[in-house]
Amino acid sequence: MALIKQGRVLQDRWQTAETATEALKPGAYFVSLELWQAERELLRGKTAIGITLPNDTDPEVLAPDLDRIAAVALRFPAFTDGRGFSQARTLREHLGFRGEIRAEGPLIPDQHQFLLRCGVDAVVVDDAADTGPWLAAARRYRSVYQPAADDRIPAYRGRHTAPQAIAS
Amino acid sequence: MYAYDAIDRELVETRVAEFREQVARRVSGELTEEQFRPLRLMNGLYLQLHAYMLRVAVPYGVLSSAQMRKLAHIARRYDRGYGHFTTRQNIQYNWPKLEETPDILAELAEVEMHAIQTSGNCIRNTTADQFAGAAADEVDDPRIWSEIIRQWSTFHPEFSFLPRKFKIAVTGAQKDRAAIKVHDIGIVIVRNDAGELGFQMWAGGGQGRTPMIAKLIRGFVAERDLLSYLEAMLRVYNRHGRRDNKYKARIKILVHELGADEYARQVEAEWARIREGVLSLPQAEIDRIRAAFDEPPFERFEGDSRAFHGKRFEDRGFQRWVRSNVKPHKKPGYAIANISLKPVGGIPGDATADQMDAVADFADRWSFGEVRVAHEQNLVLPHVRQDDLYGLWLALGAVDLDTPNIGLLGDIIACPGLDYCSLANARSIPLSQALSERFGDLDRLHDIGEISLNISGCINACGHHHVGNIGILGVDKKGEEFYQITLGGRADEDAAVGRIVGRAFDAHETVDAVETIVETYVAQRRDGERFIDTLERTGPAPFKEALYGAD
Ligand code: HEM
Ligand code: SF4
Repeated sequence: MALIKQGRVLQDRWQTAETATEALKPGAYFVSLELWQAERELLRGKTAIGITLPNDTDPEVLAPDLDRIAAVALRFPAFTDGRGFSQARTLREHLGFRGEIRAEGPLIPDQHQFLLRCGVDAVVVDDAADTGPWLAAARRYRSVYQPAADDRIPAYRGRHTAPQAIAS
Repeated sequence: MYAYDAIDRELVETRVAEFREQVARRVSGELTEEQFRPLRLMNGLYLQLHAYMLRVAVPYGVLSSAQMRKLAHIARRYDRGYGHFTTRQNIQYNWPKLEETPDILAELAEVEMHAIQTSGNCIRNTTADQFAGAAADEVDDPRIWSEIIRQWSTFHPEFSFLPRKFKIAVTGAQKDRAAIKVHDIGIVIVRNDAGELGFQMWAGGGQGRTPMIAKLIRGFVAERDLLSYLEAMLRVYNRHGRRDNKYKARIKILVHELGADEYARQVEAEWARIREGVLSLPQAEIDRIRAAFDEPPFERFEGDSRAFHGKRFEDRGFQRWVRSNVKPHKKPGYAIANISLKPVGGIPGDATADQMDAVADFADRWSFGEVRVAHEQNLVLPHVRQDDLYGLWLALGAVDLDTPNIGLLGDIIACPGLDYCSLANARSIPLSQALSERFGDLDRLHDIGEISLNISGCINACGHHHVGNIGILGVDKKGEEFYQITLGGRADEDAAVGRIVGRAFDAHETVDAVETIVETYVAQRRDGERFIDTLERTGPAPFKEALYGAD
C-alpha cells in the first residue's frame, strides 16, 4: 500500500501484527484495539506501535495510552461513513494526540482536504491508485469557514484580524 | 441582503472549477457513473426518471431581483423555460444537460448563488421564515443567523458525511412559518429574562416514514455560543446516529432512542469542551452580518393608507386578493405581498422564466429589489407600500400570478411524484391539479377559509403530507396508484402529525373524499373556526363517518 502524507506519496513501512510477539519484532506495527488492551503491559515498551480504532469506538478509550503510541489508524468502511472525521478531531483537539492519524478504506480524493482539516495526516491508498487527484484536492480551497484540527483561521475570525496576524 | 466578500467568492468559484473538472472526467469516460455519483450529488445534481435534475440553493429563501433574473435566464437557456420552487425554499430544474451543468453553476456564481449541499448526507440549505425582516411579530431577523449557519455548515470538514441528510430551520417570530418542529434542528430566536438575545434549540423533528415532532434540547443558547452548540449537537449525532439502516439514520431516531434528556446531556458534555474555544462568535462578525440585513430605506407613514382601503372597497377582486395574499408588515403603511404559484389547475411551485423576470421587475419597482421563496412553494414581495398594492395586483394579473389563495385550499403543497421522481408510488401533480380545479371557485375557497392540503407521492414526505391539515399520501396497491388520507397535521408552533382516517382511495375518489371532508367541516364549524380548530374540537369521528359511513 501507498501512503499520502504531507503532500507526498510514500511507501507504507507499517505492518499489521496479529499477536504481541509479532508486534514486538523489529519494525512498525499496527495492532487492534483488543490486542492492545489485552497486552498493554507487554507492548508499552515499544515505540513504533499503532492502534487501529474501530469507527464505532470513542477515542477516549485511548486517552491513557496516547503518549505511548506512535499512530492511530481510523477505519472508513465506506466513504459515506463519516464517523472517522469526528474521531480524528476528538483525538487531536480534545486528547491532544500528536502522532500520526491515518485513514484507511475506500475514501475518495475529494475528501482529502476534509480529512486533513480534521487532523488526519496520512491516507492509505492502493499502490495502483492515481494520486494526482488526491494531491490536487488537498490544496484546492484556500479559505475555510470553520475552525477544525488544522489551526486554519475561520473566515468569521480572519475577517476581523489584521492580515499580518492571519499570516503568522 | 448579504453580499459575498472575497472569501465567499473564492469558495464558490473554486467549487465551480472543481465541478467542471469532474464533469469533464465523467464525459470523457475517465469516471464511471458510480464514481461520479457522489461528486454530482455534492452539487445538487440528481439523476431522475427521465433526466438529470439540478437543485439550486436559495439560502434561507432570500433572493435579490438580479438573482431571480438569473434563475429565469437559466430556465430559458438551459432548461425548458420553467423552474420548480420547492418546500425547502430551493429551485429545481428538471431538464439540464450534464455537459452544461458547470456553465449553469458558473452563471449562478456570478450572482452569488450555488448548488452546494443541496443533496447528500450533509447539512442542507438552512431554511427560515419567509417574512424575515418584515413580520410584525419578530424578535430578531432569522436571516442574520441563517447566514452565519450557512457559512459554518458549508464544506464542514467533519459533517459532510453524516448518517443522513440534515436540515436546520430558523424562525425569529412568535408564529412559526418555518416549520421548525419538523426539522432535524429547529431554532427559535428568543430573549431571556435579562432581555438578552439567544436561541431555543429543538432537535429530532422530521418527516419521512417515521414522522416526529422535535423536542426542546436547550431553552437558551447565547448569541456567541450558537456555533459551538450546533457543533456539539452535530458531533453527538455523527458519532452515534445509526448507520445500519437508512430509515433509522435521521437524528429523530437517535433522539427518540436515547430520549431527549440523554441526548441533551451528551450534547452538554461535548459543548463544555468546545464552548470557550475558537467557535465562539466574535461580536464584530455578528455586527458585520447584521449590518448586511439592515432595513431598506422605508418611508415614514402615520398609519394605514386611506387610498388602499378605498381600492379594497371599490374592487372586489382586489379585496379578495388582499384578504388572502397580503399580510401585515412591521412598518405602518407597508404590507407583505404573497405571490401564489398555485393557479387554478396549475402545478404547485412551477414558475415560467417570464414569470420569474416579471417578479424581479415588480421587486425592483415595489419591494426594494427583494423576493422571498416560501416553503409553501410560493413567492413573497416582503416590503410593498400599501399604496402600491393595487398596481402590483394588476401587474401580477397580467402574468397570471394573482391567484388569491394563499393559506386556502387551493394553496396545495405537492412533491414532483411519479411524473419525475424515481421513488414515487403515485403521481402527485395530476391529483393536485384535479383538486385545484375542483376547488377552483374563488368565492367558495374564501368561504372555506384557512386550511392546508399537502400531497406526497410516497412516504418520503417531500410534500409534507404528515403536517398538512389534510394530508394525502400516494401508496401502491398491487401496481395501482392509491391515496391515503390523514387529518389534523400542522406545521406551525403547535406542530402535529396527522392521523390516517381509513382505507385508501383511488385518484378519482380522493377528490370526492376531500370534498366530503370539506363539507363536513363547513356543516360542523362554529363562527370563525378554522378547519383545524373544528377538527380538534370534534375529533375525527364525524369526518370518518362522512367518508366511510357509520359502523
Ligand atoms: C425528485 C427528486 C427527489 C427525491 C429523489 C427525493 C428524495 C427524498 C427522500 C428519500 C426523502 C426521505 C428522507 C428521509 O426520510 O430520511 C425526502 C424527504 C424530503 N424531501 Fe425530497 N426528494 C425529491 C424531491 C423533493 C422536492 C421537489 C422537494 C420539495 C418540494 C423535497 C423536499 C423534501 C422534504 C421537505 C422532505 C422531508 C424532510 C424530512 O424527512 O424531514 N424533495 N426526499
Ligand atoms: S415524496 Fe416520494 S414521490 Fe414525492 S418527491 Fe419525495 S421521494 Fe419522490
